[in-house]
Amino acid sequence: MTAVSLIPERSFGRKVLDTLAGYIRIDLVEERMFPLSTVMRYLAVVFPVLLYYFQATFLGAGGDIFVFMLIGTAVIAGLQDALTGLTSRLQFAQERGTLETYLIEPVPWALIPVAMNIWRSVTGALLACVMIAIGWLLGAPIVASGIPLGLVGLFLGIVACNALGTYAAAFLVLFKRGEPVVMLYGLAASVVGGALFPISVLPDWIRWVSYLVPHFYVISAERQLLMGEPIPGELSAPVLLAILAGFCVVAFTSGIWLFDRALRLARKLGILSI
Amino acid sequence: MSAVIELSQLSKVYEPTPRWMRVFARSHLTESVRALDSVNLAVHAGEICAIVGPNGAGKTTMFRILVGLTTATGGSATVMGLDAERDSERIRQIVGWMPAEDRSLLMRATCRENLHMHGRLQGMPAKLLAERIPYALEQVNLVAQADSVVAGLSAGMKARLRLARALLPGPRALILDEPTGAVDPIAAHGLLELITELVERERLAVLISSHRLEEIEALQSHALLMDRGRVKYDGDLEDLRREWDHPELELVTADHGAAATIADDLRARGLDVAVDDLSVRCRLGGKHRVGAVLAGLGPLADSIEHVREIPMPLRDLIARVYTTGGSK
Repeated sequence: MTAVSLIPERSFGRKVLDTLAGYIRIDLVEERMFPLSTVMRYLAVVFPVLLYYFQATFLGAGGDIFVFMLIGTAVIAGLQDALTGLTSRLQFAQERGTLETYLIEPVPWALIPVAMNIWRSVTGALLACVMIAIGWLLGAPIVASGIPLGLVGLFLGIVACNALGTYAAAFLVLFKRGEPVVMLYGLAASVVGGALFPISVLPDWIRWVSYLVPHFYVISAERQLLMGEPIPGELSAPVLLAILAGFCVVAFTSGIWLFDRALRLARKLGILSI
Repeated sequence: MSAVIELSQLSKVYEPTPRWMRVFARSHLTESVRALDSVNLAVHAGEICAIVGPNGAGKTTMFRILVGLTTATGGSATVMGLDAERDSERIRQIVGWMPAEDRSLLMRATCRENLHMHGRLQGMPAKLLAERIPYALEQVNLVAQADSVVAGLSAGMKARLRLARALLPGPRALILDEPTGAVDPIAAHGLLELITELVERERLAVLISSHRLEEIEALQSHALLMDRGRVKYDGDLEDLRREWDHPELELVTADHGAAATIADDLRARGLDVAVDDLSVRCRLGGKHRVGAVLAGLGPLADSIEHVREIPMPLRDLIARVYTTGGSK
């Protein structure tokens, strides 16, 4: 018997687009329902910027230290949603019982967590940009010519964090908890990524870990691009971005593969949506 | 005519998670559980099959295998000839799934947005979607609520929206998991009537599970009685009643003396008798048919004022199938 459906066959690319568009639509509905919470989220980032501004003023550290800390903090804040949103959304769906509804759709399952997180990732990046803009208004010396490549770096950072989030999602599918992985990584990244200090202050035996986390590459590249000068002893911005791009390809491919394997095992064990 | 949904020797054994996984999370099973044991089933176009059974009977596992949420340990499950394991993505396009709970809906979106989102993920082109959304809403009488936010709808309306979502892509089969679970009896009756009409009109093959046995009986459907993964009965509910029903005979007498005499006579013939005021009740079955029982009373029958045959409630009928292990 042949399967007859009203819906024409679609290509893999079409499925990817439909999946992404579908989940963005869900998030837009949420944003529309709670408009003030979106506004509050953007207002909230004013305070860390003010904190570093006044701290730099108090210490007499000058604009360079302010912008140094501002960029590190903005990148960490901007990538936070990309890193944690994926597992938190998936876990929420799992615990609320809606994951089954998502899995029942004829879309590639491995894409679902990334699709669920795409809107949050974009708004997270926007948050980082807002923080930098507020800093600029407060007098932080931002080099305008570095902004286009800076945005590329931020985009690559989001992709890298989503890839890492996919690893955590694989963990979540099998063990029902993704936070241990994300928490461990998040804490490590805030230290070894060099958000508030250059990694040159780290002892040698820790510093090598910095080169394993994408946050370091994003923060370092953003600083060089937006502050307009290379950081002594560190790789140049184009090299940092090239390494980050390579990391994205490897981590994203392997993350999706791992998530797919986790789904297969969970499906076999019957623990996919429970 | 080939079956739309076909299960052949379908088995599923849930195993405890492997030892290495227990380092991170304890297994919710301590030993293997056989959820389905060599289940055979065929559901044709235009047919409703009610899956009945207590918790742990294997109903949900069967549904989950069909839509690809878990894999079978043995046997096969097909929909329109597509294998549930290999072609699960394609099956999810031709099977409409109506989950038991409202939370599967996007509560903050409107009915139309819910259908739109589902349609896009199903891969429906914009033009087809524009035609099907009003059609699906019309089928379930929700046209007036098309732009209402789901959170504000009644439980019955939410159930109808879940049905509309299942119908949207034009499926060939429907899987309805406790469709009337959160709905009041009147709305549930309406929903089941709607489902019956749709099955006839669209020639759908339907698998339905429900704990409300009166609803299952109202559907006049094919029934699969399951218990701990095994099929206890497979056939029409009418046949089930014909084969298994032991109706109760109530004889209302004119006075207490006649009731006692008739009760003694029936007991002497091996019937299980209960006397309640002027009425004498006994369970029929086997060689004891109504006519034979009344004829056997002879002149005592003159003191009977009313005779009533009370069919066995479906609940008791099914319990009887379970307790006798499927042997009559």
